Amino acid sequence: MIDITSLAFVSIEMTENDRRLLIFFIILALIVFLLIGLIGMLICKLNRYFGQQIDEYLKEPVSYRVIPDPGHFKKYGHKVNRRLLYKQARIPLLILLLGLAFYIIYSLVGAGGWGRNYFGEFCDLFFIWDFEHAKTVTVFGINVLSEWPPLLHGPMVVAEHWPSYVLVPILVIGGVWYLVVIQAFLSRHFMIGKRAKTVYKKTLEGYNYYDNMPKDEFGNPIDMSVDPQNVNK
Amino acid sequence: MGKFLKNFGIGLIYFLLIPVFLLMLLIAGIYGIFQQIVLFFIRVVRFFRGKDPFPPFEEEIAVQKIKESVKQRMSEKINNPPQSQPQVVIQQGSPQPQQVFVQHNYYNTDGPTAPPPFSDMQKLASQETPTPIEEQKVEAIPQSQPALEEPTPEPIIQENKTEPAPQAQPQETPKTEPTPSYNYPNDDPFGGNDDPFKGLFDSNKDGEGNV
Repeated sequence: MIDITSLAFVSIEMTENDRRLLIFFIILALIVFLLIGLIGMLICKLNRYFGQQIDEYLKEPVSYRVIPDPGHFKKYGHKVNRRLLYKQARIPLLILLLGLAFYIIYSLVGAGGWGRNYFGEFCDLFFIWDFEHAKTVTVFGINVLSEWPPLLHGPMVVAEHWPSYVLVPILVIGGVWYLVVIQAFLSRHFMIGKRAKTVYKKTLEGYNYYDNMPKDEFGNPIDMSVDPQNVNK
Repeated sequence: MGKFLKNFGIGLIYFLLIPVFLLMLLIAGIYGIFQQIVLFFIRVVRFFRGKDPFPPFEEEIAVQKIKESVKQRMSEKINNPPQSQPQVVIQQGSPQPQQVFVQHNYYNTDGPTAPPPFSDMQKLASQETPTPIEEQKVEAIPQSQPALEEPTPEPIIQENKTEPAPQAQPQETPKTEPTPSYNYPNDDPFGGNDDPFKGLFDSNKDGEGNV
């Protein structure tokens, strides 16, 4: 038994097994924390990547000076963004519509009716473990798996479940594709607001009055704009 | 490392805002579905009316007009060159002169109007001790190109800059169309100033243009 006395004079008694589990949970928490940050970074990068797509459509009107102010820029940018959403969302929505039509027709014509569990039947194609009857152990009041649960079944194909093998991939592909298109739409929407501020920003930061002036033989700028009468004012 | 930590922190914030993003995705997804339905019917109506289902925006039309006008001006500039080019007049009945276009060799070498090579400009700029201009000794700019070869006596070279060459015998000359006037400074899309370094390196020259 190891007796640890903390600064608050609280005595914590832990076995060797408890110490090992504590170290394991600390490492696991660090890994989860790192994963959370990396997932957030991925979302941020995806937003920036999709947002930059709007630059391709707004570059020419801005560079040819057709759009003179931020208000006009936002208005035109949102018009272009809505049109892009329409063009990009056509195919995934068609796929989802096809899946919906298949579901309605099969529910009307086939067996199982409207409440059939298509996603549950689709899991026939994967490894399924019995987590409900797995052995657990309690650590610090939390039930944790003590060993790997038994395998219920491996990948198999059941002939009666063929509608789920057709419907679920259609819905998953269409759903994920549409989600990506919507995320791109939102990213472009926020990028338009950001660009409207930076493109028309007037700033003197980094600007030097004497940079572009011609210089004499001593390297001093020749300032032709100075009015001699205003020198001492 | 600092940038990674900054991005990591922003990533943590993005992860915490995931429920807000999911709500925005849901709203945008529903908006997208309604937009598809409405625009589908609008497109079908436009299609049966014979109109373009995706009409161009006003800004795109304006950009297209500007591009076309720039192209037109550039093609005019190419097709109607300035009048300073020499015109070779061929005399009928006389043997064909061996025409040597002196202008081509002229512009390939360092003429008085061509700027000095960049290496020589660097040499001029690197002179450390500034001295009064009268006492300053500047090396002559070396000729990087070989000098013009003197023309052979047989070929007849005629350079017509502004007026036609003098004709010894009165013979018919083919009428050439007068070149259209090209008002260079005003019609040039670049404002007549296509040499941004013009005049910047003249500080070492005296009034006659000698270094």
